[in-house]
Amino acid sequence: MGKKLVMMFVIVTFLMSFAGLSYAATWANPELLLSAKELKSKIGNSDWVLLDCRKLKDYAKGHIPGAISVGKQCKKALRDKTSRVWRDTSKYEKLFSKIGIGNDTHVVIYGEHIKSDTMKDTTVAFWILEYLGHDKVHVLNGGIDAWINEGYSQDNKPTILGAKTFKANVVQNRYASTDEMIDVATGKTKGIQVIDARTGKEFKGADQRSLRAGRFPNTTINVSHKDTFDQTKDLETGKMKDNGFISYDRVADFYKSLDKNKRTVTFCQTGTRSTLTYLELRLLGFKDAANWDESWRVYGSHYNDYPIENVQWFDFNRVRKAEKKLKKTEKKLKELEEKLAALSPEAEGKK
Amino acid sequence: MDRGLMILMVLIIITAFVFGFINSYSTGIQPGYFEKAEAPAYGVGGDLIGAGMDDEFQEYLKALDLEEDDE
Repeated sequence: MGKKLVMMFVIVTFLMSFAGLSYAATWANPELLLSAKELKSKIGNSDWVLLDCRKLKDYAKGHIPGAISVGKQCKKALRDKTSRVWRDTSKYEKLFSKIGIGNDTHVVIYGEHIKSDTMKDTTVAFWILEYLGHDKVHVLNGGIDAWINEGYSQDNKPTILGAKTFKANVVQNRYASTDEMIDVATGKTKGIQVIDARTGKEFKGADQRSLRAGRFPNTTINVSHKDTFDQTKDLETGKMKDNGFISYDRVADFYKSLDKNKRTVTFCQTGTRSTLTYLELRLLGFKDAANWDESWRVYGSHYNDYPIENVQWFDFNRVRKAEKKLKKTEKKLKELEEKLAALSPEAEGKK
Repeated sequence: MDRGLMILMVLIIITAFVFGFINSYSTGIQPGYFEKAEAPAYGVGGDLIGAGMDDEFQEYLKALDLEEDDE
């Protein structure tokens, strides 16, 4: 009897240790990310608002019942034409108040990844709301695909909510400025971890999107935002492809070398893709995560005063060649159009 | 009903289920997921797409006073 009890105790302890391990291996802030099932249970609560961050035409085709739209994708709707946040926060206060988001409102944001690539619109809205001090923001993991995969119904009638009052309480350290980053690049400021969320090609300077391409000095790691999504097999190509969902094990592995207690700044070309990294850092419990809003678009456009490693100047000759090719194609197209017009029944009738 | 027929029906149902399960498992297609662009989701007919985007909603969007796109 005694032996049996000891055996049972050992087995139960062994199993419980696994349960403990699996419990520990989860997000530090899980409430920031909702599954479709969790979202379903929240629908109908008056203090919960769903924000559809896709293009209006996609919202019109079908959206999660009760979701609101601001008429365009969030990365455009919530920033200026140069993809930077509005420095005048009263503009956000007016907009969010009008669409029915108050300071007590839980906001669930969703997009779509595979067809419209609007998961990053979701994370732009998430970062902006957190920057404005809103502490009840959630992202639907997998976007509308997660909702569809569960077999839940959609609606095609727009929702207009009553106005509420939104007052911004800006959390300045969630915003990294170019001035701050220059100090990091020159070594004036130490102890800041920098995550480059651009692709490997951009990191190497092979994919040029500004006057100067290359590496940001003192970058801690380069993790392309797309790599952090879960991967599934693409039915057309048979290759593994990012699917718009994120999971703890995959994401945590990318940032395991970083210190969660240090200030950690993420950037990309326009500070858009890097907002996914920002969300992931927040989920993992990084104490001082920030997004560099101006990112490489501003940094790489300065011709010689900001330090860059492995600097590659933009090849304008390549652009000139592409322009010549385009003009030739346009000319050919025009000739074909003229030939086609000559063959039309109307032209034949005139003859 | 004939016992043989009953057994046959049960066998057909089980075979069909296993076939569907294996197909879904190997292709990754889950129930409720449609590749067709014109099939938005359950409960939404293609002919109803955008039916609710009425004048009131257009006015509402205008009142949000967002910057126009260059595109």
